[in-house]
Amino acid sequence: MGFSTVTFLFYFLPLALLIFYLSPGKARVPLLLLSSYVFYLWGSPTGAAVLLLGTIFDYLLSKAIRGAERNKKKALLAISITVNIAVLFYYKYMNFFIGEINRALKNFDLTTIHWAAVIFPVGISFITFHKISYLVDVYYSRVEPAKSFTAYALYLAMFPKLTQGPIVRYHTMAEQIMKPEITLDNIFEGSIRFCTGLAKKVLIADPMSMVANPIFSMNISSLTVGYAWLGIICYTIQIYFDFSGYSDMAIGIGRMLGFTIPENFNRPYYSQSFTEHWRRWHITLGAFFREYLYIPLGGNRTGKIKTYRNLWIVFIVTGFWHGANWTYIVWGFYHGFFIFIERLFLLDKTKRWPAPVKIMIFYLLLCIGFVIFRSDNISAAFCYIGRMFDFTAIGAIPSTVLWANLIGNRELFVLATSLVITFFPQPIFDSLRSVFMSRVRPGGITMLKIVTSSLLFVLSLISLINNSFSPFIYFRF
Amino acid sequence: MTRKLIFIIIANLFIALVLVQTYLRPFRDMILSGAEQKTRPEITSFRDATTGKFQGAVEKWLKQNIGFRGYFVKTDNQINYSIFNEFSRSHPRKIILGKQKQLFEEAYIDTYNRLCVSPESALEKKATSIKKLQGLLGRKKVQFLLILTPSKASVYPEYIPEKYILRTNLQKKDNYQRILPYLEKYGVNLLDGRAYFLDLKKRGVPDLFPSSGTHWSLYGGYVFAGALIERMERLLGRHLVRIGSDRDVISGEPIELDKDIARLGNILFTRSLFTEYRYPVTRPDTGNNAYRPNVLLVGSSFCWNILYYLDINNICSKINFYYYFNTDYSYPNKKRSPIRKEEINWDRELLARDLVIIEINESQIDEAGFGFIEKCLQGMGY
Repeated sequence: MGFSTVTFLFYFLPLALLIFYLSPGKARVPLLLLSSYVFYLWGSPTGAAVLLLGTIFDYLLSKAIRGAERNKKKALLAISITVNIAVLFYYKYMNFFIGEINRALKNFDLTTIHWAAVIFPVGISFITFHKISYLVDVYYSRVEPAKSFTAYALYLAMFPKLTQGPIVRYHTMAEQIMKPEITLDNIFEGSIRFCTGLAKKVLIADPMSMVANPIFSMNISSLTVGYAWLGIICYTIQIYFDFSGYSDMAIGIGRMLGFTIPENFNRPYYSQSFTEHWRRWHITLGAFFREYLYIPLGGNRTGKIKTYRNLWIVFIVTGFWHGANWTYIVWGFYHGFFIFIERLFLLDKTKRWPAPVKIMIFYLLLCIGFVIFRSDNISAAFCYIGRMFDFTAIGAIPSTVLWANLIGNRELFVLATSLVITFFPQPIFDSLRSVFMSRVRPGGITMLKIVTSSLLFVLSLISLINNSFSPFIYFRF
Repeated sequence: MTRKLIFIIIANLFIALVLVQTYLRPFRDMILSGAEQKTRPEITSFRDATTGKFQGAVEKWLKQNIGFRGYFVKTDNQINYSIFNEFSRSHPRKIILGKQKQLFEEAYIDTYNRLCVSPESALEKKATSIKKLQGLLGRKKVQFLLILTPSKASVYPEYIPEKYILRTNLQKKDNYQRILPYLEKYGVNLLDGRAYFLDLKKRGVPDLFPSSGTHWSLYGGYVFAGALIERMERLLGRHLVRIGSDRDVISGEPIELDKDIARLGNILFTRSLFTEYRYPVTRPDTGNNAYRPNVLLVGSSFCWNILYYLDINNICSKINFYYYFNTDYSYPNKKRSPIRKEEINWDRELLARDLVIIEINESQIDEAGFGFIEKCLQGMGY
């Protein structure tokens, strides 16, 4: 169940919070676990079953890893990681691979493999990474195995971060799970953060998707240079505000429950390079890959060539993790390429360039990457990119689509506002913030937060409800 | 601390209030206009749950039944209208706010922009079918008339916002312009509403379409009904009852169809969309030996405003209005019944008639008759 649904906002969340707050201390963990499973069962019954079985498996294995001797320990870790990756592979990538094999078989006029498509359990990629981080940390004795099955199960299933992260490492949650810090301040700040995230999703990301989706599904002959740029800019805004909005809601709910969930975004488009971007975008995923893939591969301690190889591997895996399609792999490759040349020479060469220029160039390159990410297939992505730069065809392409049909005044306003938010210069923002904090009393700040959040919540809610209302003048009775 | 606590309490009370309203409805909600497909969540198999179909239906049902839905929807629409000068983009038939508060349905502007043009062969085929029907009815001594009704976009294009006009397309011919030569070629009895309205407009006749309605105005319907009666007289060769009027009433409050699209906008203050409306005070003008024909009319919502004047002035002895060839409205009394297309006795249905009229709006030419022509030809042995 998504956070921006009536089911969640009016039924699940209030009930889950109420039960959590009213239950005695010892019952809180099991009850939160129960509500997390209800949440997952509603969104993905298959996923919930897979999660439960996987949790039992990991829990038993982690205990065994802890007590085992060195060689056996390694074997157990290898088994656990293999099984988890195999489950992820089956549910997330099997349809894709069988599809690709069948395509190849068809090309050679051979009999294709009969395959009933597997239903993808939402959030399985995030869950798998949580599991791997836990098992590896237990193996390296960075953490003690979970004290109870319930504690480990809750670490994996905790509903705020279950389906879209952030990826939280076990050691940051172990203590909190046993002793959530429920205070009025946490509930208040959590609510404020939740409202902000909801508004980012409903008031910014959703309207932007209404612009980007029709453009990306437009016939290539109707796609003009202007439409192509409008589509991708709206898509970059959509994906950022959607994902960061979700993370804000997750962090907010976590805080309401007394848990601290790590930050996942820090103005990622306000970056001067791809290297900087990956320190600001999906921060917990970047940290996971650094900790559990890049460093085990040798990181940057094994010479230049191996460092570059490791970087390429990390980014191709990152791409593939995002989805089972060649577009994601190419997108990962694209990011890997820029990280590689930045390390090689680009960061040094551009050191003296003005920051706004670097930000603009980076965003332009990021847009091209996101075209690959968003497109249905590679050829569609290249056609789209071709249109973006086909300046010779300005006015020559006969388009049967009007700007006004693609973007309304409201979306135009949302786009302009979100671009200002996204690219507002950090130094000016910091100074404005410090001036504001020094001049306004804490009570005033609280009041401002209350008024803004209430307004954002109501605006989000009415927009959410209105989007579901699509009346006709008359049915053809 | 107190402020924070008050905020949390108020937020919870708000959620509780919405839930109470959802199930107990202690307060009167605002009524939303427009026809909506209602959802009923049903689980028929386990797969419905694993694929999320059931959950999706529950979510939709909850959104359709949430307390204060009318207020939520109308407030959002009012924000769109007042701040962004437009209507919600989620409507299946988008409403476009034109110049001087003239409202348009996007579909009609699409037709004006020649975005939905049928192949020439399909239009000729349509014209041939209409001709066949006319010939068939003629042999049975039943007259036939085709009415082409105009769209607001083609009569008043000057009110369409410039950003919605595809200038490069306007040199092309639309379906109306392309079917006319075929109708002429095959000698179809035609009353061309678009040409008639453009002529009226040229002669300075005002208010043919209401600012807040998508169809022609009640006044436009009255004017057209007059032309229709004249044409019926010529076809039947008899004097019919005419519609007379001595004066018009100018009102700030539109009636029925004259405000349909404004109501569909579902804003808090619908009245802000109203302008001035002209309503003729009519009376039947019965001459000597005026005949009251028995008519079968097949058409769309454009017919309502003609039917209104035909009915209150008692022009016909009987009219059956086949609305989209789905529902039969029988006049006088406007008795409604569904049409069972497979059970129609075509001989009985048609032989007692003086006249069969098919109304087609210029934006729906490819749908002419809504299946009536084909069914009728089939039923009569063609």
